[in-house]
Order: sequence, then C-alpha cells, then structure tokens
Amino acid sequence: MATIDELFPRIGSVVLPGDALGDLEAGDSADPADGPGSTTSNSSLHAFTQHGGRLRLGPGLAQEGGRVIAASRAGVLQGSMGAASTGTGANAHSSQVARLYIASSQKRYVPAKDELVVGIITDRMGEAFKVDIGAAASASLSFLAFEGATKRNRPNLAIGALVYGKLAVANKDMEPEMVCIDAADKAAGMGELTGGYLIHISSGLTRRLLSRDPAVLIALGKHFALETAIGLNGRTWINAQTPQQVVLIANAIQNSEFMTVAQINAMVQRLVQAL
Amino acid sequence: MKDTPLSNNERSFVQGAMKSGLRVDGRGVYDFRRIRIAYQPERGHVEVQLGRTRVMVQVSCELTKPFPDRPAEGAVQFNVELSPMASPAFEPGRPSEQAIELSRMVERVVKDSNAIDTTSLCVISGEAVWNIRVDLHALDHDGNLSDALCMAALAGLIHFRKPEVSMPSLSSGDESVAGNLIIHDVREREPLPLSVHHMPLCVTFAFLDDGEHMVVDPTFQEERVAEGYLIVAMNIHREVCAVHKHGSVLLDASQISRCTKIAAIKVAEMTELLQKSIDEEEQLRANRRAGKAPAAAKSNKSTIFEYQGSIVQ
Amino acid sequence: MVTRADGRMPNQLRELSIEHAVLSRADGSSRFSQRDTSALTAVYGPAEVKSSKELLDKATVQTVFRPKTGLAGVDDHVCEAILRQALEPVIQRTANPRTSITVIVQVMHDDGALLACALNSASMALIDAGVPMSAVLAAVTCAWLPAADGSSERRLLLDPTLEEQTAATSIATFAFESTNQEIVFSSTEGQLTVDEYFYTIEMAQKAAANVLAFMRLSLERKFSKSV
Repeated sequence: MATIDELFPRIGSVVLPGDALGDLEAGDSADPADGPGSTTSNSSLHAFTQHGGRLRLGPGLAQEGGRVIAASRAGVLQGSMGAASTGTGANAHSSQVARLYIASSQKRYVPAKDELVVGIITDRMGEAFKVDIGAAASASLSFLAFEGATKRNRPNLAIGALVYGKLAVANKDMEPEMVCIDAADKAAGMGELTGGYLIHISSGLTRRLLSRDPAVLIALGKHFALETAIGLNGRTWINAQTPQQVVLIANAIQNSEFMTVAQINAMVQRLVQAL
Repeated sequence: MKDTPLSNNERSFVQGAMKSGLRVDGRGVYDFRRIRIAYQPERGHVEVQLGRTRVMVQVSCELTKPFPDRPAEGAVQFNVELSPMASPAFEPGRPSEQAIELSRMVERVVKDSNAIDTTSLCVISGEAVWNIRVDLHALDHDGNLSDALCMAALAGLIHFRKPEVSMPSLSSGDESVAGNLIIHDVREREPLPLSVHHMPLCVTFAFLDDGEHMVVDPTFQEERVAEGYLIVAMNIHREVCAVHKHGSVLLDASQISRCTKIAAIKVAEMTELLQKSIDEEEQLRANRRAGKAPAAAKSNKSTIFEYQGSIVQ
Repeated sequence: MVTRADGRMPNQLRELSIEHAVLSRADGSSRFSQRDTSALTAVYGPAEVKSSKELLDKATVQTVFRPKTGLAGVDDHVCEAILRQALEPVIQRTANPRTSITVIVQVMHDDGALLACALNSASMALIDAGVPMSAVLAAVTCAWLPAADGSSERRLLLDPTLEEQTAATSIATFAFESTNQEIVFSSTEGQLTVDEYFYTIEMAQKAAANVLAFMRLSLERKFSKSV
C-alpha cells in the first residue's frame, strides 16, 4: 500500500503554477531539462491508478492533457490517503483514494457549492434578495429559502443586512444561489446576523478558524463568551457582550494569521490584560 | 469596479464605538496611525505610509517661460493620481472629482501658504523660470489620503534638488555658447535644494452626530460612516494655513477652535518626525558620498527577500 | 571580459528583491526590484466585469500601466497592451468566465529594463492574488552596445541600466513561461542580425531561469511562514 508521499514526493513543499506534480502514465516521460518544477517521474502513481486507486484533486490542481497533474496556483502541496467504497452490493469493492490539494491563501472569493458564506443584502428583486458575497457575481437568495418562510410570510431583511447561508448553486457559468436552510428546511444557525461586527480575513486564516481546534478562538473563549459566523468567503462575523470585547476579538483574529499556538495564547493574554 | 458594500452591522458598530470613544483598530480618538517616510534613491521620490494608507510622490522640474504677469516667479504644479491600485472604486482614465479635490487641497496647503519660495525659482526674469511638478500617487487607500498626500508633497519638495544653471557671458570668449543657458549635470555640479519657508501639514478630523463625536486620522471604514470632515493645515508656528470642511455635518465655531488646538499638537509631532527623517536621509547620503556607507538599512526586512545579481553562464 | 560602469559582468543581472502582498486593498500585490529599477503591481479579480467587456467563455484581462511623472501617454498605453498580451497566455482564463482580472502596474523607478521588471512584478502579483495560472512568467531585458575600444564586436549586456540602454544600438525584452521555458513575449528595437537575435534569446532564456529560480525561492520563503 503506497503512502501519499510515495505517490507525490513533493507533498509538503511549495509548488508554483505550471509545476507538474505527477504523471498518470507509466514510464519516464518527464523532460529531465525541466528543472525543479518538473515531475519526478514515478511509476508508483501509474501503478496506483492501475490497481483501482482513485485521485481526488482539490483547489489549485488540474489534470493536464489527461495525464499530468499540474498546479494552477502557488502554495504548499498537501494530501492524504483514505479508503473509499465504490459500487453497491455484490459489485462493491473498496479502493484507496488519494486526496491532493494546494494550501494557499487568497483574499478574493471564488464561489464553491455547499460552502458557508457571509453575505450583504444589496437589493431585492422580484422573489429574491441580491447578496454580495465578495465574488465576481452577486448571489441570489430566494425569499422562500429561510426557515418557516412562505409566500405570505416573507423574511424582512433590510438592504445592508448580513446573512449567513450556504451556496446551493455555485459554478463558473451560473449566478450563485444562496440558501439559509438545510436539507431538512431548518435554519441550522443560518439566517440574518444581527448586531456584532464583520471582519475581512484571508482564506488561509478562515480555514484555520474552521479547523478542529482554532487556537485563537479557544484562547479567547477562556476569557469571555463570544459568537462567530465564519464565512468561507473571507468574511467572519463576530459578537460579544461589549464593544471592547468585539474590538479585542477582531484584533486577536487578525493578528493570529502568522502565529504559532504559543504566540497566539500570549497575544490573547496580553490583549485581555490591557482591556 | 465597485467597493465592497458596507453592512449595516459594520456601520452601526463603528458609529457606536466612535460615540463611546472606542476605535476598531484600538487607537485613542486623537491618535494618528504609525507614519513611515521612506526616501528613495532618486531625489524628490518619497513614499509615505499612514497605517495601511500608502502614497508616493515624485517631484520633477523643467525650465519654462514665466507667466507674463509674473515674470520673476516660477511655478509649482500639483497632480494627484487616484489609481485603481489604491481602491477598486477608483477608475482609470480621466482624473475623478475626488482626485481634483485632493490636488487642489494639497495646492492650497503647500503652495497657497507660500511654503515654497517661487521667486527663487526664477532663472532669468521674463525669460526662464523653473516649473516644479509634484506628481502624487495613491497606492493603497485605507482612509485619510489628504494628510498622507500633504506630508508626501512636502517631504518630496524638501528632498528634491534642482540642477544648477549658468549662462556663460559673451566675455568668456566662446561665442557659440554665449547667451545659452547651461543646465549642469547633477554629477558635474551639486544640485540645489528648493527654498522651503515653512512646513504646513494637514490633520483630518471625522465627525458624527453634528460634531459631537470626533476622531483624528480616520480609517477608510471610519470615513465611510462619518457625517463630515474637517481638514486643518498648520505649521509648527501654530499658523493656520488652510481649513477645509466638507460633508453634511454642521460644526460649532468652538468645535473648530478645539480642532485647531488639537491640530497644533499633532502638527508639532509630525513636523518633528518629518524633520528627523530628512536629517537621517541627508546624513545617509552624505555618508554614502564619503564612501563609508553601509548600504541603507532596508526597513521591513521580514517581507523583503533579496539576493545578489546572478551571473548567467 | 570588460566590466560595466556599475562593476557588473556583461552577463550579470542586478540584485533582485520581491515584496509580496504589500497592499491592503488589492486582492494581490507585489513589488519587484532590479536594484534601482522597481515596479509595484496590484491585481483585482476574478471580479465583476463591465457588460461591454464581458466574455462568455473566459475572463477579461485588463491592464493599467502608470508612469511615475506626468500623465499616461502613448508609450504607457503600448506597455498596457504588451502586459496584457504577455499575461493572457499564462492566466487560465477559462477557469473564471464572465469575470475581470485587472492588473495595475505603477512604475516606482526606471533605471533600465523597466518593461521586464513590470512583467516580473505583474507575474508575482497574480500569484499573490491566487489567480489560476498555467505557468509563472519571468522576463529579462538585454541590450547590445556598440563595440568598445580595441574590439570589433558588439557586446551583449543583460539587465541594462538606463545609461546602458541609452547607449545601446538595440534592446530586446523577452518573457518566458516556467514549464518549458517557451517564449511568451518578445520585443526588440534597433537592428540585430539573425545570429545576434538567436544568441540574445539563448542568453535571455538562461537569465530568465535565474529570475524564475529567485521567484521560487522567494515564494518558498513566503509560504514557509504563512501556511
């Protein structure tokens, strides 16, 4: 059983757009003159796919010419190996799935399906709100996409209101569609965000806040109660009991971007003491 | 492109904070953000940062014919460029109303207060005078462009050197050059500084609730929620050089007088900072000329990555 | 070998420096310097696009080139066109149809090889913005100088200063992409023999590989801090 590092020797290192990271075909096809950006031609990847192994390419990666996996943005190559079962019943067989993505940080949001975002209502048109989500196009949010909303009972949101919701439709060719209900028609934490404050952060920091143990939120939570709605579009809504605490949270989160856990704890401690 | 819309939540939070004397970036109401002045290798080229707001100036000069009504005076021209680099709301192309307003503002503060001696720009009365051009570029707009631009304009004018000019007389013997002005190369003869009479600097105040609440050096977000602004330009001698009020807020005379008092303190601090930065820069250049210079200590080392020029085989 | 006025060898580049993510408002930015020559670039996008410029199947690339003094003139508009033509092939435009990618270059200082510096700065700013690209772009300017005393051959100088450019009989700027080192952009002015032209390409290609190696190092440094 191959490990992810064997399949992709450049895992953990910085890759640049155009770098070839792996070749699905067998044999020594990579041009040796390509320099550090070239693929280390590995037959193990070929063997992996031949034996039913599957590849899942995340953001920043694409398959070029049907065989070479190439980066399309700069960042650190990350990946993991997992099991996946395909088919059902008698045909079911489990195979390995290699997941690969590039960890990087952006400010501009490109919508992706099922992502949670924080939007600003900019207009009402017909049966839907127009919502700015920081992407190239505004999202539409139907009046009926709220918990308990009916034709008669429409949500009353002002222009400029903040909403937390999920992208039900998001692809490069269509206008994104946002909803504030889950599959069971429940709000599940989505809907209008009242009060509080909005901070604008990079996608890298956003992912850190959404990780299993977000150091800065844990450190802050030891000192006072706080509320957050983290949007993958680089907007995070925060709230606390006093404006002073909100300002502290905003600064602590923004400061934490390039810090280690120890540094974050010390920084939060310092800010709280100065309060 | 449009600016990101401002949510009602942000608006009411920032306004509420301002009313209780709290600012989102943790500053006190009378505090300026950190000012950084970076002089570039070319004379008259300076970058000024006010927190995240960043502007650049390049001063240049050319010989022109003076205006007939002022034959013995040179000219100083200001041009503010609001490039889309600084904010997505700035459109490329013709100067916007805001750019013209800022150009005029800098002109009022620096030129109309006679900070630059225009008679010393005269080379031959009625024939040739120096026309000084001050090109100001906004690079990053996080509020309070006017204070940053005024400071940059002044720093650029002080840092600038104009080349020396001479006219060989007929008695020098060489008739071919007689009567023609010679602009000396800067390597041939030491160029000369402009004569700067005083240093007028701007302080911007943003108001809420009919002037009841006020902050100094507003950020872009504070500018967006404020109801009115007052720009006070002063020099170290506590002389008011220009006062400009815009926005819908109506200000009490006593409020304006309070602002000028605050401005006097801020201007004193800023003048000291500017003077110190210029002294350091001139010292650095003098050392470099004397050949004992360690290469200029680059600021912001953490984000700059340098290496020696490689030899290509 | 004759050394140059600034002490460099003819085939020596100036010191390079890159500052990533300098600006707070732009989606991506970079300042690229070749000693005194320096350009600052801001990138916005993929962002909304004016309907008159909208393309149904790909992103619209818009470029702005701003001089340091005076108003933008004909030469600056030529630079805008060059930037667009050189950047379009490396941007994966079909990834974000009906959007705009705006690249704004501000000249910080021109001491020769400005166009190459602007292209390098734009290349780094696009990477900082995370715009999907098929390769990294690296550019180099070369100048041919008239024969020096006692020699009958013209000399090729890499990464010329303004003074060297003024004395040059011809100047060539090339941009190469990172995957196969292919030429994305080529521009020459002045006379060159065919042999000289190919020799210039060969040298520029090697020099661009050095510039690219530096870009890679600089980005590795940046990401080792942030991710």
